[in-house]
Amino acid sequence: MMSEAGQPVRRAPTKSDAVGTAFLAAIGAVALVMGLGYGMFGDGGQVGPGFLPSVAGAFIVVASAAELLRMYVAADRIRAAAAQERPAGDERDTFGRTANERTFAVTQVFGIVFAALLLVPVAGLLLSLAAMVLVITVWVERKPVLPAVLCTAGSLGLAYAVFVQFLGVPVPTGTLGLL
Amino acid sequence: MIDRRTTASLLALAATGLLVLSGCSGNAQGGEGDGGSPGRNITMIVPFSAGGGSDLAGRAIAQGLEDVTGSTVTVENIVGGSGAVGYSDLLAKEGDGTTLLASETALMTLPVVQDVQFSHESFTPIMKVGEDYNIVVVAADASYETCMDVVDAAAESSLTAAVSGATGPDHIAWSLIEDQHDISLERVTFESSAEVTAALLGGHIDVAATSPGEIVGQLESGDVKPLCALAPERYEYELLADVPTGAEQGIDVTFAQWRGFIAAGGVSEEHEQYWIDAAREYAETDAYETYIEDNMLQPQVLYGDEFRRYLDEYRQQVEAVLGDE
Amino acid sequence: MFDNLQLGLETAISPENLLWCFVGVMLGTVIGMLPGLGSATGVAILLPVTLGMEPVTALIMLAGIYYGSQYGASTSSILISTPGDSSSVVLTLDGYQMARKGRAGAALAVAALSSFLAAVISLIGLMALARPIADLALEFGPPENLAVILLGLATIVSFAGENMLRSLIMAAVGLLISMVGVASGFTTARFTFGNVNLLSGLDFVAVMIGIFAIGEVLQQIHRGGDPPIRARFRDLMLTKDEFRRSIAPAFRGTGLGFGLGVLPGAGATLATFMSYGLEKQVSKNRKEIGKGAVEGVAAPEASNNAAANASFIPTLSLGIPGSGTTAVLLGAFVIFGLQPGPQLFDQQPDLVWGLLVSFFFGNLLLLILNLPLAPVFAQVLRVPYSYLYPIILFMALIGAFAIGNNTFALWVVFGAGVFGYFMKRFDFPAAPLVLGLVLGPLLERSLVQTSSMGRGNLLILFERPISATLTVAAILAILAPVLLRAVRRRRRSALTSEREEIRQ
Repeated sequence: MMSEAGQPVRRAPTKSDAVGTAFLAAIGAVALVMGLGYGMFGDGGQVGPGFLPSVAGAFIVVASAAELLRMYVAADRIRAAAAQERPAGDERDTFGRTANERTFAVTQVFGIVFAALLLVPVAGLLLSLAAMVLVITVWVERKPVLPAVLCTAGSLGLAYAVFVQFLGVPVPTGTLGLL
Repeated sequence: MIDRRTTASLLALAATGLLVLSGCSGNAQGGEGDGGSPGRNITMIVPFSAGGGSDLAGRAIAQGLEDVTGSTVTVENIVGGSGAVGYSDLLAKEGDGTTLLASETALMTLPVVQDVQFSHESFTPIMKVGEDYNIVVVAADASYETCMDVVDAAAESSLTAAVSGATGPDHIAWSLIEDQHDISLERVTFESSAEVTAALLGGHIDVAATSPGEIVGQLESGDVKPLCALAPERYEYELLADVPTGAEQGIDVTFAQWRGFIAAGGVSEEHEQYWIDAAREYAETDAYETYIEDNMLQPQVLYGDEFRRYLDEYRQQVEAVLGDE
Repeated sequence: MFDNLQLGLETAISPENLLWCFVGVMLGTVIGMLPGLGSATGVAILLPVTLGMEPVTALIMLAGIYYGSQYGASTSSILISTPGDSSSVVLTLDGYQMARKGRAGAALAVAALSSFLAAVISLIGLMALARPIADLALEFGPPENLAVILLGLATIVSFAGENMLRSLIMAAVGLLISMVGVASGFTTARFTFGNVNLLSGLDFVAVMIGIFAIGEVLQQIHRGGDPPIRARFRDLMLTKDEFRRSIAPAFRGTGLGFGLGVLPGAGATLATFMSYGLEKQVSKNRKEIGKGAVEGVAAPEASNNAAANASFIPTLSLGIPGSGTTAVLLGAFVIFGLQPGPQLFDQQPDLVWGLLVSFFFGNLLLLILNLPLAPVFAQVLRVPYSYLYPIILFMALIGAFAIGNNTFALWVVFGAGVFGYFMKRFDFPAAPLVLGLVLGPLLERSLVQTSSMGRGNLLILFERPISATLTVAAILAILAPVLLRAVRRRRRSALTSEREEIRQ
């Protein structure tokens, strides 16, 4: 589990943990190669456009490799510490969900936000986002319809008042041109 | 005392609040107006963020056009891609006479240097509002007195020239001077004219070419010394009247950042003419003069086809310098 | 100076100016609380609203929006961990932890008090010493700026603690993200894959919103969410002990913020990170910092406000903006027909001094507003998260759009949100990433400029006294914790061996 201080309580390294770190290493490698393509140095030996990307990329590769190594070397010690953590069984959280349901909820929210953004060119920004709020509260959070509608209408009204009326932001209305 | 203006502004704020509460937006759709007007609700795209030079120009032009046409001209800052996003937005408005764009040199440099879908030929040029030439400046205690001194010194030893942006008009001007006099200056690139000024005042670089409006404060206080103006004629402003042109000192380079506005490509001739007429009318107003003077531009105005020919020539110069980089 | 003060007081105290100052700080507070709308965007968006006013009134209001939005940004960082500005990112560390512990009211109160303290001290400095300090700031050319940024990056080391390697990786990833687009000084478009939206890079505010607002929300869902806070109203008040502990960090933060704020560029953000790092080194409660310590709120918040005020020094006395927001304000000067530059103080004394004195009133208003409102704002945390987070998502996305009126920003937020979520899940810290993101362009710019000035030779860093000193300091900052640890270890082992000797 991660505390906000950037001082995580170490979990045991999982397979996905290693995949994440390896993914970063891959990003670093791509940056290194592309950076070299942009040119490290100019004609007179001046720093070129590829210099910092290559350096940062190379650093990420080396540091991620070291981190992967450390994760497995220190695995035992970390596992011991992790034993004291909140068990992730089927205990229900404040949302009333189990661990598996939680992971599914994250995927759902990602999907809904993605769909809302795809909807923007058609329904406009405000309506798409309002639909997003409604679908999340009703479908993902299983809240009663009335409070969910009120919550949606409230945030829509607030956003309209602040951004459109007061700040004069030219919010795209989409092909429907409603709001 | 709280004066009338305050009361009015407060009332306006309150009215906005009421409008919000009643949920009425009152967005009157402008139909075809008289006299070939493309509509009553006009959008002026500014491809850079609020508060910058392009924004100042866009708002001044929008206000001027509002006054002479009676239409509502709304400024929209569409920011991104060093201007490319705003221009791309106008590109998508092909044939729409109600969208204008406050344009400047980025229209010419972006197609040369970057992979963008547009060039100046994709749009309908309406009005070149003015030219912003560069003046060559050094710190007040520098030993140079003329631009030729700088060129001579650069032939002897390596000098550093501060430029604002790698494709800025000052960079192009220096490149033209380098070609003409067979010298080479080490460029130090800054993000803005203000940073160039700071580096000059701190003595970190040797010389800079900057538009006069950006450095007028330092000129007035005497913290920087103007050497020459890279313009065809001397400025008429009192502060700059004594600054000789480059040509007077043997440097025959003039290169300016121009400002103006364009319409989308493929607009009807009727709408093009409507905007050119409006622009001509705007150029006669006091508001136009104030904008030019506040920003120390030279009021060299061109409309429609003349403006287009100017851009064609400009493109060749930009290509000659930036095309092979 | 006292004549000027009186002149300024006369201008600032007029009912009209006071009124608009009040409106400005109120609007600023609201804007700052919205994720994504920081002071620069807030001032830019509201600039047209002020066009009909007297110049001095308009500037007073715009400046009010500036520091008002900083108070607001701290509030949303502390309460829902979605900073409105890069300079309030650090507050999401200890401020948010305090909120989770039920000390949200106290955190907000400390933020308001230390902001006020910093504002008053830095204003006195600004009024008394603007010109000499501005001249000193001019001594900072590209090599000196490069050295300052290196020193800033070195503070990551003090942040990191146990997971140093992961902090460094995230800082490098932040640097890399900031490299997208056309770099300063070049025409090469990097990592843009032909998309014109990427030519000027990924907007760092959009990336930040994605990582903090979206990433935090999804992470909360993933780990089951924290229970709504049920603390009683009076438990939300600041305790005497918390107050006492905040004083020294606030003063240290003010000093650091003032010094860095004078330099153009990332002054405020860098100052918040560095003052947080400093507290982690010198504070008596340094072990608590990172877990919701009041010192971790007071120091960065003070340095943020001091830096904001200090950025007015080059702005007003030279006409050279000291920060992104003052750059927009300088644009406003020109719109109102005022010529910023070295002679502004002489030519427009009533305007400049009126503006400066209005800062006092504005900050006082904010303190009066924020102290009693702190526990009230904290009530937000009583809202069940199931309702709160969809609204956070809504506001974050529309705020991101409003930065440049560009729908591409929505996708940047989404992408950064996905990245931020996985980052948090795999225990990679966000703060170093933001530092890398903010410092990246500045680092590259000053690096390229320095290498041009040295004709390809970067050793000119060591040829100039200021940059040489700062670079050495940066190197020491990286090595010091390592050395200290080694020394402590040796001392400890010496001690144990002594004990063993005694036992024997």
